[in-house]
Amino acid sequence: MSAPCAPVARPALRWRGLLSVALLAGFHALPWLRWDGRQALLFDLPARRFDLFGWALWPGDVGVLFGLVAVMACSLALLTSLGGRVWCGHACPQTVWGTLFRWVEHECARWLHRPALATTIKHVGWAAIALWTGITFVGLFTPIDALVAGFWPGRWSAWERFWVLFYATATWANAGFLREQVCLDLCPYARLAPSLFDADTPQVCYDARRGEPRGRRARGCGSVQQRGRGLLDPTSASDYTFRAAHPALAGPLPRFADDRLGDCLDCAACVHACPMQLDVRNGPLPDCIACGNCVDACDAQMRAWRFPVGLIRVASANAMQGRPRRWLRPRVLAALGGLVMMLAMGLRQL
Amino acid sequence: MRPSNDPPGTRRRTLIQYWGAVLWPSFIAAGLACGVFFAFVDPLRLRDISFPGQALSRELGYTLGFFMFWAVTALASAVTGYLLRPLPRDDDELPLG
Repeated sequence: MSAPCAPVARPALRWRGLLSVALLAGFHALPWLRWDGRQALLFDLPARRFDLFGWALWPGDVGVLFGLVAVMACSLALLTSLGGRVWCGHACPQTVWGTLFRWVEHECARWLHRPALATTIKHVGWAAIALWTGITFVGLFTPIDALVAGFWPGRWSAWERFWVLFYATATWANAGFLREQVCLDLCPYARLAPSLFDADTPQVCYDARRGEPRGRRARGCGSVQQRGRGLLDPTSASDYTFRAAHPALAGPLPRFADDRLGDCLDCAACVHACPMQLDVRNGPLPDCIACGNCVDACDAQMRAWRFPVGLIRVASANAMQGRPRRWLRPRVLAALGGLVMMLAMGLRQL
Repeated sequence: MRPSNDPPGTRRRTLIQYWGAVLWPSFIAAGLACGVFFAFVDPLRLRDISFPGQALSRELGYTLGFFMFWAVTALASAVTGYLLRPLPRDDDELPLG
């Protein structure tokens, strides 16, 4: 891998950051919402009463809660079939809190030049976020205003104290230390998601026909489109990709003349941007959480070199091969059928 | 690129994978079991049957119940994990002859 090629323009659109902020704000606002003078969402365990936006559920109504969970599971399956791992990349608490913790780490290292001080402030910040998360979570089970009012001078019951610390520690360990290892090794949904995919499910893809053979080059020779080289045939493209991914098997790649190179600059910006250091150019990977960092990093490089963007993009296998998109597919229909059935059963019960 | 068999950090990763696979699914299962169980059984009624005269709150009942379920499910996961480990039956380690 060679060093990054050029000063890189940051992507202008920060909608992913905004979405993370909105989701975090939504979670932390949730226990503060009021409905008819009561907390809108309160699983009041001591009183054995669940308040769900003006709708009171008693212990015998536990079936309704399981029904809601089943509706959410079917919706997630439908979303995965239609949109790929959008949940993982953008909405999963593991990703959202992990991004927040990483941002705190990055900002501490950026502004505080003494490493010991940066580490201390980082841990103070992590602990504060984890504690607030724990309080908010416990605030869904015990009235939040009394919980926050009792924070100082320590009027919490032993059980409130225990559960706040339990969830704070879980947040701190998951978002601060385990991070994407949870997605790689521990998450059942991450294992299940690929079986919900089909040829029309969008994934983060590298356009090997346009990008290969990859390599460093002098400035000013233009993209494959601009200099008329066009796209490679699929067999050669996958051959180059395989050889680049397995140098021990295939030997080092030969040096290509600049006019024969594809659009991949081999700058490794995509690998550095990936939270798991995956190389998306090796094909769609089961570990990829579709966060889109590599897409932004590659697009920034493409802009810096005045190449068209989209060498790495979110696209389905059918779209990459220029085949038409189908909407009615077995997995989509199964998930949709399950969802409609659950909703119909729920409506009949009410 | 992160090859899955790289030596640095492999031991840590294996440990987290093993303990994660034991503790995490058992946590979810215990949460589900706890939800269903306490939907039908009030911890205070259970206290009156089992420990009459003791001042045990509902919160203590829920917490104890949850950790009891978690201990049992984690034990099942741990035994499953232990049984799934490869047996040392391979005779490669024994000297020949």
